[in-house]
Amino acid sequence: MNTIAYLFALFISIGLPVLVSIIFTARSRVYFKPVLLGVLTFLIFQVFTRVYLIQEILPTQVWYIVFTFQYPLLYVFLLSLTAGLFEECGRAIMMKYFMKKATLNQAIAFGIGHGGIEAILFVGIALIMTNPNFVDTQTLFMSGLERLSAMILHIGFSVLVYQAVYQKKRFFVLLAIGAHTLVNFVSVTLMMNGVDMWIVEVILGLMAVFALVIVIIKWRNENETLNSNH
Amino acid sequence: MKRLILIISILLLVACSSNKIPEGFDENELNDKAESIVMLLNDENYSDVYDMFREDIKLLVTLEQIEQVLTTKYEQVGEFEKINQIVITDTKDPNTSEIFAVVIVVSEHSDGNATYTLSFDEDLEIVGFYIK
Repeated sequence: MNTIAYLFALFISIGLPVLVSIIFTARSRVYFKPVLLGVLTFLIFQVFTRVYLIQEILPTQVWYIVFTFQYPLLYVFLLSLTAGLFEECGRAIMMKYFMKKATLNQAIAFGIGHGGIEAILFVGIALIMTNPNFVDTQTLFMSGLERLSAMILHIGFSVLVYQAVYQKKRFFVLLAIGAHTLVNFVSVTLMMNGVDMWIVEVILGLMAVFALVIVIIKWRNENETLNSNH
Repeated sequence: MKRLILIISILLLVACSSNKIPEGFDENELNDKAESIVMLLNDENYSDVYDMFREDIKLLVTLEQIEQVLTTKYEQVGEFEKINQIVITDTKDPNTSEIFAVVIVVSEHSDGNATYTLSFDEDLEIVGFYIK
């Protein structure tokens, strides 16, 4: 059972994003750039800036440590807000300046690149370096499910930002920042308060399903418009 | 947005302006305990410090793990010189509502600084240990 759970988590966090990216780029070369830009967005606006600040610089500052202990809820809120701000503004900047034109499918490919590299770096590599016998089956299953939800949400956020950049609906960037903040804040606050991890995963999964439904509706609408124009 | 930034700035200023000693704890005892722990660690007496960990915390972290983290850190920052700052605050375990004292110690070394975050229960057993 443990091996199945390990393979499941490994597949979701490494196999799935790589496989989907390959399928997209094999279908058409126009998807290679958005996948790559999604990867770069995560690396530049999260790993090399926000994560570096939060893990290397701020924990050495006494005021910051005191703040995290005295205002834990506000601290979680600020962490969630900065995740939303850095990643969604990053997405908007990359789309605006490096993808002059884009389709909804390319926005989806962008989300796969972004969510995929996050899954590989934060879970996949850790799994490879871990002996599965030292991790319990539930944790392995949950890490796989959590990454699946996160990748779907990243696709949803990418579609929101796509609408802001290419359809001039600027409000959608704010919506993406707000939704990203909300997802992070709810899941971390629940975990901090000792809520059962399966409940947290179900809530995260429901939010991902909601994002997926919106993406599908948007995709259908856009395809119908394209078909009627032809 | 401006109002939010102002509120956060005020909270940060208030948070850092003074020690916040939780009820049932003594400021001098906490200072002495934290200082002695930092001195023991710098003398490589890791097991003496590990013995101060509460039993439930010992189940989560081994002496070898503590040793490994500290050895790596001390290799980076070099020889211990002095303690620069000690700040005390409080925190509450969200699951058990138990109140802990948190002592942050900043020490100066030949090639940099080390920041310790030590959490204590009412018996002054270590329930949280973090070094950056």
